[in-house]
Amino acid sequence: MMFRHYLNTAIGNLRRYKLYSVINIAGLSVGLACAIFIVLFLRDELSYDKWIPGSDHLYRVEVTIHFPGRPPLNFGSVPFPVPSAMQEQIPEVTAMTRISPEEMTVATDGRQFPETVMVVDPNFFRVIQLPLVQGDPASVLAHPESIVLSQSTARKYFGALDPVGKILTVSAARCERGFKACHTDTYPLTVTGVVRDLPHTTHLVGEIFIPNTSRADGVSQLAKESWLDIWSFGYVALAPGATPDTVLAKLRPIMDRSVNPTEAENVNLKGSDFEQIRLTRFRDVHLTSDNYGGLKASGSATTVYGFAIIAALILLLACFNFTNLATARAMLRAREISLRKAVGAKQWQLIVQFLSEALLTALLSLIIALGLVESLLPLYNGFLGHTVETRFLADWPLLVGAAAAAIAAGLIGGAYPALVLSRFRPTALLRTTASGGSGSESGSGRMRLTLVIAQFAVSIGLGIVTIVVFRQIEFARNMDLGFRRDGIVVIRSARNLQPTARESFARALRAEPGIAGVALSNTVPLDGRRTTGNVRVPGQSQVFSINTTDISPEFPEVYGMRLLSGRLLSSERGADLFSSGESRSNAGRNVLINTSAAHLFGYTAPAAVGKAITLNNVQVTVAGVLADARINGARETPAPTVYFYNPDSNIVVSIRVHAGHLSDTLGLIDKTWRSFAAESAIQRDFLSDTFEDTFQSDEKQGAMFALFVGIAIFIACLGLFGLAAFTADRRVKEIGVRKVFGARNVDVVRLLLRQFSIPVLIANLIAWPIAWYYLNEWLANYAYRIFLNPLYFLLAGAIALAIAWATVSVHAVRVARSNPIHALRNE
Amino acid sequence: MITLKHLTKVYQTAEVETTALRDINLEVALGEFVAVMGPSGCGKSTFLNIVGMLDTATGGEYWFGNQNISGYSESKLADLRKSAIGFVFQSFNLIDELNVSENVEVALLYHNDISASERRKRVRETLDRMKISHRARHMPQQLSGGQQQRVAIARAVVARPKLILADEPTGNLDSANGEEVMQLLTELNSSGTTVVMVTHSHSHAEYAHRVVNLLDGALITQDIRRAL
Repeated sequence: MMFRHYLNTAIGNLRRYKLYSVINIAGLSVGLACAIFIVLFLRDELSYDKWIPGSDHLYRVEVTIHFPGRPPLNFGSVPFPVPSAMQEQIPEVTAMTRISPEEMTVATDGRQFPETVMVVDPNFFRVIQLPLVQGDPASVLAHPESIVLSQSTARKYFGALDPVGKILTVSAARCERGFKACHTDTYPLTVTGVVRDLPHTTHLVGEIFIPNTSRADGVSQLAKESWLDIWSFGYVALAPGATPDTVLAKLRPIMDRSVNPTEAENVNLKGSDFEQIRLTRFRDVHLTSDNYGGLKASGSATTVYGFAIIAALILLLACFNFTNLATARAMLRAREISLRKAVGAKQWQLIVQFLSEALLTALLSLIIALGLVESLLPLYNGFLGHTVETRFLADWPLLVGAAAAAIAAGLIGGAYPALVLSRFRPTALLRTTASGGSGSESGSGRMRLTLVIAQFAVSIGLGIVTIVVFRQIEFARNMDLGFRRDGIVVIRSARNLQPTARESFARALRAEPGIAGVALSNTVPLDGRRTTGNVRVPGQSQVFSINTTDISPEFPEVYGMRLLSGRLLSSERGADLFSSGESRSNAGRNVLINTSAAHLFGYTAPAAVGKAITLNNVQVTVAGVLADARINGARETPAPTVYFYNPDSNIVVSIRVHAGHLSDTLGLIDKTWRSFAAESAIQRDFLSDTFEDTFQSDEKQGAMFALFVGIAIFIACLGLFGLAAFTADRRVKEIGVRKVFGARNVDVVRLLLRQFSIPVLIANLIAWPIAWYYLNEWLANYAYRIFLNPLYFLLAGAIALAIAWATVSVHAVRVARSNPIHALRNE
Repeated sequence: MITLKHLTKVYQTAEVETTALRDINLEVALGEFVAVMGPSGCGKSTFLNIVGMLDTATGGEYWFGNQNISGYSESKLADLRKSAIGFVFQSFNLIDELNVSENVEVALLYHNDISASERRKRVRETLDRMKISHRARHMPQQLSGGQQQRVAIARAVVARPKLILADEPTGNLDSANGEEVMQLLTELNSSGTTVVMVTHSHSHAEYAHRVVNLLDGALITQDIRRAL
């Protein structure tokens, strides 16, 4: 009975104060919808790898390399022998398995496909229990010449036919260490199993799996025995109760015994200090290894926290609206409350009444929010590039969570007004005129002011962050990286060719008129690979750790790298040519270094030319100095680098194509490739695409961030709109008086704008230092970053003020134009 | 000072046309004290609003001094109003959020030619004159009705207008306070300010030089009580 009365009153009030009801419901439903979208995103990010059975006791073995005098280098991968040594020598490690992605050409029925094949330990599907549709995890890779396909890859090769038992031929480049001799072999492999297509919610990728016992595995035995080369991903399972710390403690002596950095790298450190092994929970890999290089782009814990905070803030803003408008309305309802109190309503009964109104509003908002999410979900999935949710209305935990959030929002937003309103004394209220005020009114006025300031502080803070994030992305994108990236085609499949064939392939392409230049190298900018070496400089006791890059003489020119002093390398000069044989045979050869290396060695660019240095225990001479190139983009400073020319290990071909000849030239490149390597498919990509890819996740998250910030500002403005409407109505009498005494319309508008400008200005003062602190931390991730210009802060503040003015002026103009008599007429 | 010629005010809504004032012809001389009387709904307030330039007539002419203001814009009317006319209302219409001093100052705020210090000086003088300066820092709610109306009168005269329009200034006051307000208005009139007052009270109308009676929007009689 009483409940029905509360419900009726609540519905009546929603109807009576339409504007406020619409603002409250719109704000809260948009807020809830945003929060649901963000929760879907977060839940998706946090669900990575949890679905894989047994993944709770799996860890990825990762390594951090400590070169003295250089920042630690973090890798998501690990030297190949480490996981197996752990399993053999540490009882707590119950199992291990490894993955090495390798480029291969898979052929069936006369068709060739360039593929990234996961070369794994035969026990892979037992340790990492990916769901097999066909085949037994224990035996599916037991035979060396077996191959497991994903469902979609099986369809690609065999259509609707049963793939198990079918033969695929796989061609892989088999190279000696240092790539001095590569040859492509083709092996027939039998399909033994089919794995379910991996969802996006795993840090693993894999369409094709073969065992590392297969002859098709191109990695040399030497590389598999190296404790210093880092190229494979390792996983270990720990016994129940075992902690990573105990395992790592037991691993240290093993590392000390097995790794000898003094001999190989001239680094005087214990093995376990040079290669510091980390164990990362399998389920945490996605969010903890941002820049370590993994099987695919990782997520970021910072982003996850950031969005969680935004979701909470958006909901809070909507709650603030609620509180604000409800207390603002209090005076309009003064008589109703007094009457209820006069006829004996208790305070708690009034509290229940106001809270039921708040809850009704919240539940109506929830229904609208669910509708919004349901209809916008396909768009959101499309934007994220993967499906985070499809059957959203059947997702009970989510619905319950959303309902709980709505109820909490209703209670939080309704609690303060309920307390304030129910506490009024009836006599004080009955004496008040409709436009008059009282003591508690000024209290809730302060509360409203505080909430408006808080709303704008949040909006301005988020606004500044958005501006700076986008400026930084733009800066990094347009920054001069010190190398050319437009019009460059990279052929990675060139590793399948013999060194001499690679040179001939390059020569054949150089003859084409559409091609401006062709270079070979062991790595190309932005591919994240690095080879390290050490340098001694005469007269200095220190050993410098540097990166080494193997290039053909054309490399600087093709990439537009500037020569600062000396000369470039030349294939005409024997002394510029390194060989892969006995290292001593390279004594006296010439190298190029970059500016950072010159500075590290204590030289200026011109002074470095002609200097003898000892590179990996071999004395060489600096022939020229190249300007630094930021080969890993804006996140890293250029590493000191020595460039040398060894045709054996130059396995990547870079082709600079003349503008305007692209499509013709691509056809030509493919044709030339086929004449050199009929059995393997070409793998080529544009360097500019690789470059754009590095910004993709930043940009997507930036766009999502901007969208939610926009919504936060929208909700804050809705609240301001309602509050301005209320204030304008409440100040009608005052404005009438002012007009009577000579205020013009413009004076009145100015008066109201000023009233709402002050909270926005205070909000700026609160938002600026917080935003500054946060952004300073964020920008520290970038080696090259924008200056935190005060103009960004002023701009965000000015935009907030302009939006506030636009919102308020609607009411200000209405009130200013109204005839003062109506307000001042005798009652 | 004021000349109304065939002044008409018609309110028009979608369905109904209401004539609030019809063919009013009236002259108010400089320094005169005129009381306007009539039953509720006879058009007294409309009359006062048009004279006070808060509303415009739909027909006829309104001469203020030697200017025909009938076609003046809102901002021109605002300029004229702030320099020439002071208002006193039945319900005082003080601004709740401002104290006594600030309330009086409102009438000077929109005079660009008066400095802040001059404003404060004038407010002080006027509050002294209205014998309310001891309440300068009080808020309106802390004053009695009579005191509030004295503040309202202070606000009406602080800009030294030539004309004071009072809309039932004693309507919300007891008789003692009512008499006091009438004394104040009379004093102002004696010092040269023209006063036009709408009232229901015959005894208060006695203070005026002349009583004008309105009925159904038309001017029916003009009693000259006292010779100027």
